[in-house]
Amino acid sequence: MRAFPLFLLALVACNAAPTLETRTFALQHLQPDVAATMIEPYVYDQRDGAPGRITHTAQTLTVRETADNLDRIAAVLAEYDKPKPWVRLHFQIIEADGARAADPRIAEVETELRKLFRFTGYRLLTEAVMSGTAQSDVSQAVGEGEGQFFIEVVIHDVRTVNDTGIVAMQVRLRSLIGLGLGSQINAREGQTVVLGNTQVGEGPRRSTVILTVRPELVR
Amino acid sequence: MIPCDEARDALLVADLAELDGSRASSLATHLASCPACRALADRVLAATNALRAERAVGPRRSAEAAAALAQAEAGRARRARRARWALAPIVAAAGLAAILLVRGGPESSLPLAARPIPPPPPLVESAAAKVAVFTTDNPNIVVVWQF
Repeated sequence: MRAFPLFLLALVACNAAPTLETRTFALQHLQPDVAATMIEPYVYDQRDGAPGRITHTAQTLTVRETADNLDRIAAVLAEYDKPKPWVRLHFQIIEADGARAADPRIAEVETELRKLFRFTGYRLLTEAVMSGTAQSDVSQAVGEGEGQFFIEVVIHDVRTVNDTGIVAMQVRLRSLIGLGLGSQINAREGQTVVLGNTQVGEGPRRSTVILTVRPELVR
Repeated sequence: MIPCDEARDALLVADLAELDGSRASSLATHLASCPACRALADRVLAATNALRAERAVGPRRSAEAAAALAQAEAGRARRARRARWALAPIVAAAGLAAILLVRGGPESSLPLAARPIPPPPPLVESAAAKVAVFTTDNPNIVVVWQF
C-alpha cells in the first residue's frame, strides 16, 4: 500500500517536462552553422513539452536545453572552438642521378635513398616553404625556365596529438619537362616523406625527380 | 572531355589499355584528340614497354604468396650480401618484382636505377594505389614510390 504513492510520484516525475535554460555561446573560430551541426546531437528538438532549440547569429550560438546538456555543449564548443593550427611545409625537390657530390642539405634523405635505389647521386634542385591551415590549399612555383616546378598542396587536416602533430594532405608536383607526381600523405610533425616516381623524359633529359615534404606545426 | 591537366594527372595511374586506346575511358577519349597529351602517353607506354622487355615477367601470384616470396628473397639477399654473393642485387630486385606483379594494373615503370638494392627495407604495398611504401632506418624518413 505504501508503494502506491511512490509509484505515482515516480510516474509524475517521468512525465514532467524537464526544465530548460537558454544559454548563448560566443564563437571565436568556428562558423556558427558548423558549430550548430556539431551540437545537434545534444539538442532534443523532439522532446514532448520542452523541445530543445538552436539559433545562431554571425558570431553566437544560442541553445535552449537542460542545464546538463548545456554543460555538455559548452564542453564540446570549448574543445573545438579553437584556432586552426598552422602548418609550415618544407619541400625539397631532388634530382636522382643529378650529382655525385654530397649535399649536406639532403644528407639524411640521401643516406636512406642510397640504401634503397641504385641512383648514382642526388642533387638538390630547389627548396620551398609553404604555410597553411587545415582545409586550405596552397601552391607555389619554384625554379626557373625548364627547371620550373609547381607544387600544389591541399591540407585536409592538421591534428595535434599530445606534443606532436599529424598533417593529412594531398601533395602534387608538376614540372614543365615531364610528368608530375602526387600522393595523399599523412605525415607527422618532423617526419620527412619522400615521394618519387619515374619521370619519362627523353634521352639525356630522362631523370627522376623526388619531392620531399616535412611538416612543422607553427605554435 | 576532361581538361589536359586532369588527363596528365590520370596518366600517372592509368591502365596501359587506356593509354594505347584499347580500352574506352575519359582519358582515352582525351588522348584521341589531344596531340600533346597523346605524346606524353606514348612516352609512358614506351618507357613501360622498355622495362617489360628488360625484365623477365613471371606468373602472377596472390598477394600473400608474393609477400612471402619477397620476404624470403629479402632474407636471402641479406644473407647473400653478408657472403659477398655478387648476385644479391638481382635477388632483391626479384623480390620487389614479385610484389609489383600482384597489381592488376600496368607493369611497373621503375627505372633500372630505381630498383631496390639490398638490403631491401620492409615493403608495404598499397592495394588501392600503385605505390610502394618503404620504411627506412631513419624513423623520421619514409619513402613513397609510385609506379
